[in-house]
Amino acid sequence: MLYIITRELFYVLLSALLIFIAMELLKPNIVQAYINLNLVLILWLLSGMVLLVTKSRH
Amino acid sequence: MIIFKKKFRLIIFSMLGLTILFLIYKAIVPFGEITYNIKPCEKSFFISVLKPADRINGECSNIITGDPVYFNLNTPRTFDSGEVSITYKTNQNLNIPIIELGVLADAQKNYKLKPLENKIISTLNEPISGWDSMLENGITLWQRGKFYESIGQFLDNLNDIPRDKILTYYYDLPAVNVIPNYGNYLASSKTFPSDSIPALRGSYQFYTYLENEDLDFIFKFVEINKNNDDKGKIEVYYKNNLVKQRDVLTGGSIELTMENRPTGFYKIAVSASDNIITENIKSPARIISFINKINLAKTLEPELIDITTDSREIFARTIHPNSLQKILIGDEILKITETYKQFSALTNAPISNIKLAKDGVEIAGDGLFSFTSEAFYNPDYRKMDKNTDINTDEIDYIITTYDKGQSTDNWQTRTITFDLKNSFRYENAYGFLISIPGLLADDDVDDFIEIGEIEIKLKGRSIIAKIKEVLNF
Repeated sequence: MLYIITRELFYVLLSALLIFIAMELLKPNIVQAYINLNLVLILWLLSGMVLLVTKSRH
Repeated sequence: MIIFKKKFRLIIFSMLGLTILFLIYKAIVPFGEITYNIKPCEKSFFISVLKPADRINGECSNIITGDPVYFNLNTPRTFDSGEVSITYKTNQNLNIPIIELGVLADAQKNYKLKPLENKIISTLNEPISGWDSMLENGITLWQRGKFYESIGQFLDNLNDIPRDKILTYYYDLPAVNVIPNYGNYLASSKTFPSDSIPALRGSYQFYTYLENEDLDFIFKFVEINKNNDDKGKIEVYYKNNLVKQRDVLTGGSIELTMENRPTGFYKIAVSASDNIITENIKSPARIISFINKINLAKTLEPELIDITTDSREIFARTIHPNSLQKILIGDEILKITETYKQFSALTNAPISNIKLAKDGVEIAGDGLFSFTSEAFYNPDYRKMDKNTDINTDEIDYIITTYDKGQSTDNWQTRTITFDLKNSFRYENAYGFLISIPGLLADDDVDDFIEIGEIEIKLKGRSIIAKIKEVLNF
């Protein structure tokens, strides 16, 4: 269960990161005004690490 | 498990989709209206902190100790107007009567200022003041005793009231357009000597007067650094309308002539960088009064310079070490002892005489300047400023668009609306300035203004209006 949740979170955070970066390139500060992209990046990396740990157990 | 996975994926990707739609909504502001605000110690992407740091105090950087201070409003799109509401309080030591708020108007860093607070006018509201007020269409007329029943009646009888009894504050009365008995004036005054205007640096503006004569000026411009490709222009205004324009060309004389012009005051504005010197201005005109500022160029053989002014406070600054000097203003001496520092002195007379032994100094003030007393004439009505004393100056009428706002205890909230459509937007931000003339950060007085909140309501075109405009509906 944890593995499934973490994997979905990993994918959605990766999608969010890519979409937000594309939006920022098109219109600067459209995302940064409300969401800290550094935070999204850190959460994505953390979800990736947790995913690796849970995958080995899964 | 598969169903759970699909449901969970649907939920979190839906949340991502909603987040993206929210961000797009906030960026395009489809209905054209949005409000941003900031309170002390809050961080806002849209409203920047007050700066510069050496004029700001407090843990939350919301205490203003020096003048002026700036803040930016970052916006994702352009807007037509902005209502700026500032909540603030002043401490008891603050002896500054006027506080103003401005928006950046152009790339030359000029600001369009509007009054935030005017204590001089606020004291007129007190019952014992003896002043009567009337408000019509956003304009307030204060009278020392009720002589006129309406503002319209006051304006109709403007010519019957001595000009020195009237003050304006953010309201433009029609400037004097005809000098009474100009023939007698010509007979009694000397012809304007063509070499009495010293060399001037950079931009300047002046009034001149024509009555049954042609506009006739010859300017000689030179460049300090000939490698710069500086451009400038000369513009002539009559009743605030541009009537002629010429480019500034260095190396040679430029003749500015206009024949058969109607009687009245003309404003001539020379726009040029500090690399351009006006070596000489020749004209048969009798009136040449410079507006607010003259920057005397540094020459090899300076002569004694005599200036007539009606400014109440005179500012002097130089960038040349060998232009440091003592300036005589009336009977008082103003010492300029440092370069790049502004020095000021108050005058006690309606008209003062300034004498300088050396050039290379920028002289500024709230009035006009001329190089002979005969060439001096101010067609504008006097404007209220921080040095105004309505009793000493024997003022009987004040006309203004200033509106006293709401107060709660010591906190006051004032709202000012700015036209943002014609304001200057740099790197997706509008620039604002809070001006408190006379508030110094480096004096020993513990005076300050504390900002409680800044709220800005923006209005612009909706997305439907924009689409209609694009499709030409």
